Amino acid sequence: MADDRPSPKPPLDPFAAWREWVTQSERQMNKVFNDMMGTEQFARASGGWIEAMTLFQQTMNEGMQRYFQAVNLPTRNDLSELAERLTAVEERLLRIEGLLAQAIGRRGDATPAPRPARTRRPPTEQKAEAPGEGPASK
Amino acid sequence: MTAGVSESVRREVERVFRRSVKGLEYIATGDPGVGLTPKDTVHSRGTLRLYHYRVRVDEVYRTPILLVMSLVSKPYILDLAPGHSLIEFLLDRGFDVYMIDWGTPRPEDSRLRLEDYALDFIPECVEFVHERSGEPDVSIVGYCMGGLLSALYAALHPDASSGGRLRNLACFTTPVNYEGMGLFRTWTDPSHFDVDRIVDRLGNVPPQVLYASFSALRPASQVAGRVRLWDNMWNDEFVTSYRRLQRWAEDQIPFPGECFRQMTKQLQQQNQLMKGEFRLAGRLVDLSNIRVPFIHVVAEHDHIVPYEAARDLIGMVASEDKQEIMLKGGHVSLVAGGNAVRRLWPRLERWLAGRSV
Repeated sequence: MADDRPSPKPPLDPFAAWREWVTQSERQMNKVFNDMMGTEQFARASGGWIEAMTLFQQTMNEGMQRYFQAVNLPTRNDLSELAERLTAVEERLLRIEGLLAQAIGRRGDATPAPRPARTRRPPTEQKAEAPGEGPASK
Repeated sequence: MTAGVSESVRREVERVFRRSVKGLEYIATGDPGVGLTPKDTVHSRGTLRLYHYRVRVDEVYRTPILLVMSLVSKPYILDLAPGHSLIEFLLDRGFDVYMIDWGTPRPEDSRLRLEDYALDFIPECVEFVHERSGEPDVSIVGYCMGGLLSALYAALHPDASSGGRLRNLACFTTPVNYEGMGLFRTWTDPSHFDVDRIVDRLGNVPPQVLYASFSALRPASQVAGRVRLWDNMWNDEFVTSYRRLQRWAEDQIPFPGECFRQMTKQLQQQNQLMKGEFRLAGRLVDLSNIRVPFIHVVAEHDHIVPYEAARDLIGMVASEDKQEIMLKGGHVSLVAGGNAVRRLWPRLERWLAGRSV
C-alpha cells in the first residue's frame, strides 16, 4: 500500500526547469551506468580489479609485517592476537558477572534504570493501530 | 504572472549572494554533531554497545523497544539530530528505547559469523533489556541488515507467548530473496567473484569497498547531489541535513569477514534463506517460526534493497497479525530526514503503541 499523499504545489519558479533537467539527467545517467554495470563484462572486470586490489593489499600487509619484525616492533597481527586475548578475558569476566548476577538477582554493570510508570496507553484521540486493525495485511 | 517571475528572479539573485557567503561557512565549519540523544551504555562486549536512552516522559508503554542496526553502517542514522531523530521521536511518544550498536569491527572480529549475532549477541542484549526494564518481553525494530539479523533471531527463538522474550517485530527494508538484489547479485556471481580469496586475504572487508559498491548503484547521484547542495546553499536547514546524511553515508565501517563470506555464498549466491535451506549453527532457519505481531516497511524507490528482494518476507512469516507497508522514499530517506518524519515515524508509533501495553 503506497502512501500517495500529494505534495503541496510549489510556487512559480523559472529555475524549476533547470532543476527538473538535473533530476532527469541524474535518472538517465544512473540508468545508463546501471545497464553497463549489470553486464557480464563489467562484473568480470570488477572481479579482476578486486582480485588485483586484494593481492596488492595482501602484499603490502606482508611487507609491512616483515619490516616491523625486522625493526623489532609489534605487527598488526601481534596486536590482533593481544586484542583477541583481551576479548577472551573480557568474555570470561562477563560470564562470571552473569553467574554473580544470577546469584544476587541482577546483572552486573547495568545501573538501575529510572523506573517510570509503564502504564501508558495509546491516546484515544489518535487511534492506535490495534492488532488486526492495520492496513490490509498481505 | 510577470510580477511572479520578477519576484522569482529577484529571489534567485539574492540566493546567489547568500550561496557565496554560506559556501564559505560550509567550507570553514566542521561536521554537525550526530547521535546526541542522552543515553547510558548498559552493556558492552567487544565492540558491541547496548544503549539505553534516557526516558523523557513520566509514563511509558509497558514493552521496551530494542533497535537493531545493520552491520554495514553506523547507527546514528536513527539519531541524526534533535528534531531529526527517530529515537528522540519514540522517547517523546512514551517508549522506552534501547539500541544495539555493533561498533567498528576490529581485525580480530573477522571471525564473527551470523550465528554470533543471531544466537549470541542479540539474545544476550534482549536479556539485559529484560533485566533492566523488569519487563518479560521486548519489541525489536531492525533496519536493513539489522532487520535480517532480527528476523533470524526471531525465527530461532520462541516468541513471548511461548515463554520467549519477543513481543513484536518490525523490520524495515529487509532482504530475503537475494535473486532480487539487482547489481549486487550480478557483481557477486561466483564465476568472477571469489569471496574466499577476498576474506582470506583481507580479513574484514574494508569500508572503502563497501562505500564504492553502494555509490556505484547510483553513480550520477553523487554529482547531482553536489549540484543540489550548491543550489540550496542559501538554505541552512537543507545544508545541515545534507551534511548529516552525507557524513553518515561516507562513514562506512568494515564488514566482518566470515559474516561477509557467509552472506555472499549462502544468501547472495545460493539464495538459501528463500529456498528454506539456510542453517545457523546446524539449525534450519524457518521464518514461519515467527508468529509475533509483525510489520515490514519497504521503500518505493529503494535502490539498495529493491522491493523484489524484500517482498517475500511478509509471506514467509507465519504471524496472524502481520502487514507490509510500502512508503514513498528511498532506502535512507525511509528512516531519516523529512520524508521519514512525515511518513514512517508516525506509522511506526501507531503500530507499536497498540501492541506495547
